[in-house]
This record gives sequence, structure tokens and C-alpha cells, in this order.
Amino acid sequence: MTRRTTIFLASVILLLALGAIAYAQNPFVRPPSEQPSVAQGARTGMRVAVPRFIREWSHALQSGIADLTTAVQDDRDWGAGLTAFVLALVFGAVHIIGPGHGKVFALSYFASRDARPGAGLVYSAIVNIVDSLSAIAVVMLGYVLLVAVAPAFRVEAPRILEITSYSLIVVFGIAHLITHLLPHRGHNHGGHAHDHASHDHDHDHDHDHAHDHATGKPPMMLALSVGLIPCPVSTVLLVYGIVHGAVPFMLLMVAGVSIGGFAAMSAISVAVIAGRHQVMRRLSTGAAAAASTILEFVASGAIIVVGLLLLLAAV
Amino acid sequence: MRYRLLVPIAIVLLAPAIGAHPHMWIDGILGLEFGANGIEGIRVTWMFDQFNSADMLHQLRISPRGQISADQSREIYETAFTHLRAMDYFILAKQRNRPVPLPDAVDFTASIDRGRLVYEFTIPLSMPVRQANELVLAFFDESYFISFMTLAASDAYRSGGATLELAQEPLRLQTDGWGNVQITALRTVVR
Repeated sequence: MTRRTTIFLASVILLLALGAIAYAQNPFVRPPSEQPSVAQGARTGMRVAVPRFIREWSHALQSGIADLTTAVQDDRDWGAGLTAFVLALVFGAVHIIGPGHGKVFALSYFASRDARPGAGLVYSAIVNIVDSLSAIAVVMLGYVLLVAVAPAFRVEAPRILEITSYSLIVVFGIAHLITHLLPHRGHNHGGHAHDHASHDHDHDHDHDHAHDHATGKPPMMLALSVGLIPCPVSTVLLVYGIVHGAVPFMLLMVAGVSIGGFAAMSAISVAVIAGRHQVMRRLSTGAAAAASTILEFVASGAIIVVGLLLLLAAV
Repeated sequence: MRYRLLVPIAIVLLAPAIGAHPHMWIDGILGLEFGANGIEGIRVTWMFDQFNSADMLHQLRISPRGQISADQSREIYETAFTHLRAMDYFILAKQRNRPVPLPDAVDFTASIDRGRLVYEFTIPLSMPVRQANELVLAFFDESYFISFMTLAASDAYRSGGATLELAQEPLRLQTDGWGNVQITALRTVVR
């Protein structure tokens, strides 16, 4: 088998699995015994109050988008289309600030190291772009194909993608932890000496202790792993487009949701980065180093534990 | 400046608390059915959102512009409804903080209304009107995949010389891992 064939087959399997996961999250088509309750418990790990406006706005916004979409389809009312796009932006922001969508990993990661705001923006962009592309690929290739040729496979296949994605997250967490246990190039540590002459990172940023180097590099692997699982909202928007012959318009809606999601996730990531930076600036060098080390271990541990819980629930 | 420190910290602390994750929206309408012995059933109507309707109908190979035949309705009942029994059909029914046991649903039909998938079914109940005071009813999905909006088919009923009113009441419920959410429930008042 050639390398190209292998890649093609692997892509097809991945798309089928991606289609399956979107399908299988719907409780109307998945028996309750297969619902990953352990994973759901791991997603927040706390008994927090969800602000009422989130629930009510999301209900009203999706309803508004649906009505406006009908107006565009039936009456060619492009003003309604523009309004629908604006609603999609707001919906994306409201939707993404809920649990899920990898925010727990982003919070853990950016709390654990001194990153630049750009890293948070790039992380958020990658998660949302990959999520949208994943949804498009799923619906256009995997999802439609599955309905036609292998409906039964969709019930089993989500586990493949879940296990793959959560395994990647656990591997990322372990790798993240190891980078903090071992001395290495281009990384920040307090409490041990190393040769800065060998480092190739940028020192022009604003900080007042020698061992906390802001990095502009986003956690690419984490972002890809998180974005890989398509949001059911994007997939149903696209399926709606296929069923109603409105794919280009629904692609626009997915883009709106994605941009809104990017804005919300960026705000959270940049807030974490700025919050950590402000705290570190106010601590003495020794305290900052100690706090940084603790945060790194706690954050890496959190990523591993949550990833493992999700993985165990999926296996 | 201390306030500059507080803003990002406050946002970070609040971020996980701003929890919401529904991916499906259903308008759930509750109606009460009466007979000689009082309340004899809860008639339920679920109207799925347009996008998930298209998705679910697509799975079932049914056009959202078409109609659902009796055979297709039976197929939906078997493949996309009966297993909801394990979740009490997402119906929360309590009276004075005690759960009201719900039997199997009957009279299930599925239809399409302006592109929206509609489920209708009845939960049989046997409760004299005079004993139906302080009955709290609502739709709620503990997994929070679905966000239900609970609506009353009628605000008041007259039966056996009594008036039963349905009043809206806020209710805060714990989801399975997504935090707790405030929903609107219906509470009976018998006069």
C-alpha cells in the first residue's frame, strides 16, 4: 500500500468517525447507557451556576437564526441574511463560553506558563478554524456518506475519535509535564541555573524576573486535538444547508458562529494570560518562581486527569 | 494599578462558571387531560429547533418539507423515542418535593410543522383534581445537550367543579457536569 493510499484511507476513517461523533451525541439517537456520564462530570468538576441569560439567549438566538434563514430562502431577503450573520456571531460567542470546547485545557495551559496574548489568539483561532473545517469535512463527506452507506457504524465509531482525541490530550499533558521536569531549551523555570546564551527566544518583553519567558508559540497539538471534535451546532447547521439546498448560506452561518466563538475564546485566553502576567509581576522573583512551578504542575496534572477521565469514559 | 489585576482575574474565575452547553433546543408544551376521575394524563408536545429537525429527519430519510407517514412515525417511536423512558422522557414531575412516578408514554405521533419535527405523546396519570395541588412539571435534560423551554398548553382548566391553574415558577436544577441551570417550571394551583 502506498503512502498516499494509506493517508487517503486514514482520512476516510477519520471522517467517518467524526461524522459518527456528531451523530452520537444526540440523546434521541443514542441509548442512555452509552452516554459518557463520567466524562460529563469531568468537564466542569464543580457545581457552578449557569447564568440564566446564557440559556435564554442561546434559545432565542438559534430561533432567530432559523427564522431569518427561512426568510432568506423563501423571500431572498438578504437584509435578513445579514441580520442572521450578526446573530450567528453573538450565538457563537454565547455558545463558546459554556463548558466544553477545550476551555479547561486552554485555561490550564495558559495559567501554567507565561505566554504572550498572541499565543492565546492563535490558539483560539486554530481551535475554531479546525472545529469548523472538521464540521464541514464531516458533513460534506463523512456524515452524508454514513447516512447513505453505513448508518449502524455511526453508533460505534464515536469511540474511535473520542479515544484518539482524548489520548492526544493526555499525551500532550504528559509531554507538558515532562518539559517542566527536565531542563531544556527555550523554556521557563525558576530555581535552577542554565545557560541563556544557548536560548533562541526573544527577551524584549516586559517582565521583572529572569526565569519567566513569555512564549508566542501557541500549543498547536492541544489546539488541534480540541478542535478536531466538531461542534454539533456547526454540523446541524450544515446538514440543514444540505437538506434545504442552502449550503453557501449555512457555511456563512458556520463562519459567523466560528468568528463569535473565536472572539469569546480569545477573550478568555488573553484574560488568563494577562491575569497570570499581572500576578507574576507582583510577586518577588523567588515567589514567582515557586508559584510558576506550582501552576505548571497543577495545570499539567489537570490536563492529564481531565483527559484521562474523558478517555476512560470513552473506552 | 490593582483594578487592572482584578479584571483579568475576575474574568478567569467567572469563565468556568458561565456554563452553558445545549446543542438542541426544544419548545415543550404541557397540557393536562381530564376524565371522570380527574387528571388522566399529561399531553406532551415537543417542537424541535429547525436545524436539529433537519438533521434528525435527514437521518430518517424524511424530507422536512414532506409528511411523516404512520409507518415512519412508528419507526421514529422505536428508534428515536422509546429509550427516552430511562430518562422519564425528560419530564420532571414532583409534588411537595416527592417525585411523581411516570408510566410508559402512549399515543405517540411524529409530524412536521413548517420544517420542525414535532413529537406528541401522552403520559397516563390518575390523580383527582383536588389532590393535584402543588404539582410541579417541567422538561429538563440532565445531560444539558437539550435546552427545553417549558410552556403550558393552557393556563387554567375546569374539572369537577374545581379550577386548576398552571403558574410559572423558576427552578434551579443540577446538570450532569455542566453546572446548575435555572429553568421555568409549571406549578398547579387548585381552587
